[in-house]
Amino acid sequence: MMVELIEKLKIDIIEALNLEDVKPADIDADAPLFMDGLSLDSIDALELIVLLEKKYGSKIQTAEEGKKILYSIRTMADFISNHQKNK
Amino acid sequence: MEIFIKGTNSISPAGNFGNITHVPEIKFIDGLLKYYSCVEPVYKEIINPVLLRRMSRTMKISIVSAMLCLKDAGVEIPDAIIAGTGMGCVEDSDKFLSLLIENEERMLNPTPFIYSTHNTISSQIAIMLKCHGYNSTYAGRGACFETSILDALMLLSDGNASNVLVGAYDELIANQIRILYRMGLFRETKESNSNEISGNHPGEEAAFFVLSAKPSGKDYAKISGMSVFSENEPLSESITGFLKKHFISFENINSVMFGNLHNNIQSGFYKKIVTLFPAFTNLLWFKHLCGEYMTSSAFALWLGANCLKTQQIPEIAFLRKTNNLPAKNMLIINNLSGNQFAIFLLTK
Amino acid sequence: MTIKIFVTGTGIISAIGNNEREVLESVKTGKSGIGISKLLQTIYSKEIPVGEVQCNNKELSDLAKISNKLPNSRTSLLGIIAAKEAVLNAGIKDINEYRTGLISATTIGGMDKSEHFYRNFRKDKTKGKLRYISTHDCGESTQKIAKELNIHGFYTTINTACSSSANAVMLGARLIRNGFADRIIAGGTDALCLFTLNGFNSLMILDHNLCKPFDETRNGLNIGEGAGYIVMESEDCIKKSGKLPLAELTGYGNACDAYHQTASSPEGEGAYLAMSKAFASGDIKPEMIDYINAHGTGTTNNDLSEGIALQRIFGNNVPYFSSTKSATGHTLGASGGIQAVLSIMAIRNKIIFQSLNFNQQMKELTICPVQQRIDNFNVKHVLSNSFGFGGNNTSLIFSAV
Repeated sequence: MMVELIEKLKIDIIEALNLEDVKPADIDADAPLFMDGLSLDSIDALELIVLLEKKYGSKIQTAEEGKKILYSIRTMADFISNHQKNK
Repeated sequence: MEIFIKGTNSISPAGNFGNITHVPEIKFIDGLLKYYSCVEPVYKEIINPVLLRRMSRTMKISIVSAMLCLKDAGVEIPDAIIAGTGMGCVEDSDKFLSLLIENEERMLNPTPFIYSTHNTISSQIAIMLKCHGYNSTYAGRGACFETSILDALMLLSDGNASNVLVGAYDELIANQIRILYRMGLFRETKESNSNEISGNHPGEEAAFFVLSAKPSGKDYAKISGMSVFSENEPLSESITGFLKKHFISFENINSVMFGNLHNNIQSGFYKKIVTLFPAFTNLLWFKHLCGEYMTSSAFALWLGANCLKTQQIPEIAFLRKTNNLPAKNMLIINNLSGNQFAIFLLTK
Repeated sequence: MTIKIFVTGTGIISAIGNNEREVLESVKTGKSGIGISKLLQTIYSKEIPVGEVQCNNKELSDLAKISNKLPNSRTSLLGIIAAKEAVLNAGIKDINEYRTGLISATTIGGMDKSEHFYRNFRKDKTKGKLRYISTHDCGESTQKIAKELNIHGFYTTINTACSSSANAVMLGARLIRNGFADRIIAGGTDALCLFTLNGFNSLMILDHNLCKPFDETRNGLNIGEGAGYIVMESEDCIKKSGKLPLAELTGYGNACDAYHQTASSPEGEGAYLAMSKAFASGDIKPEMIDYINAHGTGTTNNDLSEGIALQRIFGNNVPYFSSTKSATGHTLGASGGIQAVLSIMAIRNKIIFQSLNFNQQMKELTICPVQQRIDNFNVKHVLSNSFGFGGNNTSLIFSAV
């Protein structure tokens, strides 16, 4: 389940952030998203917050909370997974 | 004070200066609504793909135009960046507004909001160049591009800048074209009438200029004068006064470029002006090459500058061709939205 | 010899008052205009406080003394009211007696009306009342204000986000100094609308409570609406009319942060440069400043960036400073104009305004804003900061005459 979720997240992120030249296989699930790899910035963080709420029904309340959850694909997947468990 | 056009670039429906031999391709929205659209460059050649992914069409066009202009002028980082735009970043405004209504104010993507602000392009250029200099954007109907030029002139005259990047941009999207036609600013065309050459339809462009107070030896031309007048004041007096102020007579003007929409200057606004010029003055027009939009003067200025530099005027730009060449100067007279009109005096 | 620029009239409308007298009364009593929105139809009306002008559009039309027959955006109405007050206070009888121009600023233009249009247009492209979209562009309100003031001269519109109307003042002064005008009415106007409320909300920089500029626990800004205009005249003009000016514009500076579209650089470079240029443009030195009307939006980012910049410029001697946005809300394109009016108000009334809702010093700074209003203070020189998205930063200096 987690593996599928991670793969789906990668595809959604590539689409949401318009990362045209990036393939899902290029993204390491555990690598920090906001360091060199994908060169994401604060605007991308906000877009990911919208993505999580729109497509996964998981709302991030504050920017501070967002920093932890958006650390990597895996932390995002964990957040979604926990959020859906608690519903 | 005279200012020198050190470099310039335009991305418009007309394409490169050397290719202006025919009117641009006319396009249609909903089969009836005519418009022109820009001949677009290959963006990846100029803009880093990491930045490109977020940019709207007008942002991409404007950044490329600005960068090519700086290259043309041989300037790496200008001392100031000033731009004018009539409608701003329409695509992103439309996107965010539509989202807002569709989603009932929930889960809204921030990117279109950020890039919908009118000054986003001048800012983006500054961010890419790390240019901390003076930065401003003039917007809306009226003399937004002309004010950019005036602002640059004052910066150069005060000695607060050596090279100023001045630009203009206006873009079209389908919804906006529909609105413009619905408002009666343009008339729908049946396909069979679409052979008429006119500028009476929406257009778009991004154009940039590097202006300097000192000659470089490779300048396109000088802007020897520019003024904006209200249409409420007597037109002939305004123009006569302008020429007098710049110590030039009607007889000494080689060419005058008008902002008329139709291949017929015997009506409307321009009818009152054309008779001021003697029969041997070349009469030119430009809106059949770029369309009508709030910052169209930028295209006229680019075209005029290229004409003076190359000493060639595209055949298709003539309304009346005389033997009054080579071109030492050119007057541009363009009516603006907001009941104003602009005059530029370009000299070699 | 540089031409002196005098301010002869000011006009303002905001959440804390519909005119100068009301606004002055509010700032004296520490009144905040920020609260639940009553007029703006938003799902967030109870959740996100705003600085709303307490008049509906019909009431604004009455205050502006114009008819409702032509479509008028709320932005235009606010602008006309404040610009007319400025002209009236300047004692101008014949506006075209001298070469007079209008430099107006707005970020949102007629978007309040465009939103109505789009509701219907979006689903059916033949629907939507055209009168609602006809006021959309930024120049429409400028043209309306020029018409209402009967200005025959030059007019233009600036949009550099939150520094728009400060840039309008700066351009106006430069036009006078370069001989293009004798007199300029400069300022800005912005109305509340869903576009900006939701736009800032999508950036997660709105405080869902009252904003706390320069406070350690600050959470963001409160959006406001309003308009502020000043009349600037050349020395010659003043001499001819024999007017007593209210204040003098003694410095201005514009610089770009060139860092990010929505964030200011951590070292406050753009802010530092704008303030430096303002000092360099005239004879006023940092040590002469008595009060700073800060940009102070209450966002984590701005207040840190601006605070650092203030410390860089003023060293250990940062003068009294406050954010009047804690009372008016952040009026976006109008904020520079509104702050100009408030700065001049501080000079004329010898008041240093307090920053509302401040409790705890920011750990990165050694300075705090003014927490209690200071009366009977000989305010000779005021620095007013306006820092916009995209790094468009402008600082103005006003001085007593």
